[in-house]
Amino acid sequence: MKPAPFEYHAPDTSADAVNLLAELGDGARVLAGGQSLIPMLALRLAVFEHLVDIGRIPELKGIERRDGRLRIGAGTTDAAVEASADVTSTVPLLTRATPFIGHFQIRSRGTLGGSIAHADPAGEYPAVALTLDASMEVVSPRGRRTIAARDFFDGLWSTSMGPDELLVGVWFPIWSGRRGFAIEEFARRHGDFAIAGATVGVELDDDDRIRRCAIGLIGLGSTPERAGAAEVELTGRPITEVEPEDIGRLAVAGLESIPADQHGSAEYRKRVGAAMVARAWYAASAEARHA
Amino acid sequence: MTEQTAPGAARYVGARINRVEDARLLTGRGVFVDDISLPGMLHACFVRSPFARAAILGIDTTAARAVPGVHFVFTAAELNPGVKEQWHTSIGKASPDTPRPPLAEGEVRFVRDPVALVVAESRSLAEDAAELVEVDYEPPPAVVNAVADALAPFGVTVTRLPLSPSRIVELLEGKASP
Amino acid sequence: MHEISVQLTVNGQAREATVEPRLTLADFLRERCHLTGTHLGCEHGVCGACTVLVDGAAVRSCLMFAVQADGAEVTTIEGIGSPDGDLSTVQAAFRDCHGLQCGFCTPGFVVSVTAFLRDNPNPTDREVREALSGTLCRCTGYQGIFNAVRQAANQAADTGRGGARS
Repeated sequence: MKPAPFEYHAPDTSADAVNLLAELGDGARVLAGGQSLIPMLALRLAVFEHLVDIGRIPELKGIERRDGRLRIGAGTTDAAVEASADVTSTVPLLTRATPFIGHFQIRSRGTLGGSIAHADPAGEYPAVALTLDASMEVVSPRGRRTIAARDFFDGLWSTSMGPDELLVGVWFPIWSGRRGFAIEEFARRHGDFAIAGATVGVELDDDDRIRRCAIGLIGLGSTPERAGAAEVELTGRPITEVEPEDIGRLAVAGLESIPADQHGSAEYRKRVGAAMVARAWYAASAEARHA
Repeated sequence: MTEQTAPGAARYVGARINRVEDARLLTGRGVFVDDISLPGMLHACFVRSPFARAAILGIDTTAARAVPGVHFVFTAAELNPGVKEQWHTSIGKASPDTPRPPLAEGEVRFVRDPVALVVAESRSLAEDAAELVEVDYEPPPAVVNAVADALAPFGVTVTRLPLSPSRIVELLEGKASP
Repeated sequence: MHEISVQLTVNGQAREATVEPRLTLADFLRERCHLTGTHLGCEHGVCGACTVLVDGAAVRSCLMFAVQADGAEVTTIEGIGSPDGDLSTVQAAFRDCHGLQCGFCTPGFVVSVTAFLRDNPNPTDREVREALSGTLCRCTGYQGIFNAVRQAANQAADTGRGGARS
C-alpha cells in the first residue's frame, strides 16, 4: 500500500514552518515522527497535498530545566525522553510512561510533540501532560502563546491549536517533596493501544496526608481525562485511610463517553480503568510514603 | 529388517544439522516474490468491491487508463474470456462449484471481490489509477431477519431464535404458539 | 509534483538519487539500491520486517520517507555481518537456535536484535521478550528467536565484547 502523491517541505525554523502552514492551508499537514501519520497515508485513510516536515528544525529538540520546570522540545523523540536522566529526576512519570509507547523501533522516530498534537485519547503522553497540568508552547505567524493542558485537548484527535499553529515545546511542572508517580495500562498485547489506563501523581506532607494528587485516565473518553472528583475527595486525607479500589471506582464513576468497540464494551473498559487507577494509585502512594 | 545401516546414518541420525539456506536468509539474500525484478516488469493492483453483494451496473475505466504509466485496465469483459481454466478448490475441476470468474461478472459476491485489474509501471501508479476506476454498484438490501420476514405473511410472529425446521413447520401448521 | 534530491550512506556506501517525496525509505532501499533484504510485510508499521538502522537506531523503514533520510547513515541486513560473508554473533545465533524458517521476518529481527543488544548487553528474559514484541513471525512460534537472542547476549557477555564474528 503506497501513499498518494504529495509535495514535501522541510523548513529549518519554526517561523518558516508556520508561515508555510498558513500559506498552504487545509491541504497541508505537519510531519513529525510520522509513526501515526505515515500508516494513515500508506493505507490512504488520509490524503494531504503537502507535508511540512519539522524534523529538521533544531530549536524543536532538546530537554532542559528552565524556570523551575522541565521544557521538552516538541521534536524530541520518545527514545530521547526515555534515555534522559534529566527527565527521570524531574518528571519521572514521563520516563515510566514512555516504554508503553508502541515498540522501541517506533520510539526511535516518534516524538513527544507529535504524540501530544495527535491527541489520541489512548496515548500516553497526552494523558501525562494532562495529569501534570503541563503547558503547551505554540507558535503561529502572529507570535507565541501557551495553552494549558486542560484547554488543549478538545475532542477526538483534536486540539485547540489553530490550523497555522505549531506545537514547539511542552513545559512540565516539577513536583518536589514526598512524591510518587505511576502509570498502569492494560492492552491485549504489549505495544497495542491501551484498552484503559491510568497515570497518577501524589505528594504527601510530613504527616502522610495527601497534599495533592492527580489522576489521569487513558482510553476512557474522546480525550484523556482527569478524575477531578476523586482528586478532590483525596486531597487532605491521610494516605493510610485510602483504599485503592475505592479510588479506582470513584475515578471512573462520572465518565460519559467511554469508547466501545471490538476490544471491549464501555462497561468493560470502565472496570479495567478502575483497576488500573487502583494499581497506579497503590504504586504511586507507596513510592511517596517511602520518600 | 537387516542390522546394516547406511554409512551416512551415524553422522546424521540424532545430530543437530544446520540448514543449508540459513546463511543466505540471514544476510538478506533470500529471493521472495516481491524481490524479483525483471526488465519491463509491470505491477498490478486490483479494484475490489466494498460491498458483500451488489449488482455491477457499470465500470468506467477512462480516468484510470489516462494516468501516465498505466498500461492496461482490465474488467471481466476484457480479461475473463482469455482465462481458459476457472479457479477451483482442492476438490478439483470437475466439482459442481459456484463459478468463480477471475474478475467479477455482473455482480460482486463478497467484500473485496476483484472487479478490475490495473497494470502499471509501479505499484504506486497502479494504486493511484485504481482509485480512479468508477464502479456503479447496486447493493440489494441486506436480509438480517430472514426467518421472521419469511414467516410474517403466514401470520406467524417470531419471538425467539434459533428455530429448527420442524418447529417452523409446527408454527406454520398452527400447532404451536410462537 | 516536485522530486527531491537525496544523499545518504547505505551500508557504508554513498548513494544519491532524485525521488518522489512519497517514496518510503523501504522502497528506496529495495528498488533504487537493489537491496531487497529489507522486506515489506504490512507497509503500515506493525510487522517489523522492514526494520533498518538509521544513524544507529532501529527504525521501521516503511514509516519513513527517503527524503527524511537525507544525510543519514543507513544500515540494512546486507550490512550486518562482514563483507566477506561471515555472520555476526546475532546472525550465527539465529542459525544455531533455529530462529528462522521461511526467512521473511528474519532481516527485521536480526537488525532489531543487533540494535537492542548493542544498547542492552545484559537483558533479562522479560526485556528480551519486550524487545522482540515489535516484530512478527508466522513460522517459528518465537521460541527459537528468543533462544537466539539469549545465546547472542550470553556470547557477547562471555567474550567481553559485542559483535564478535562467528
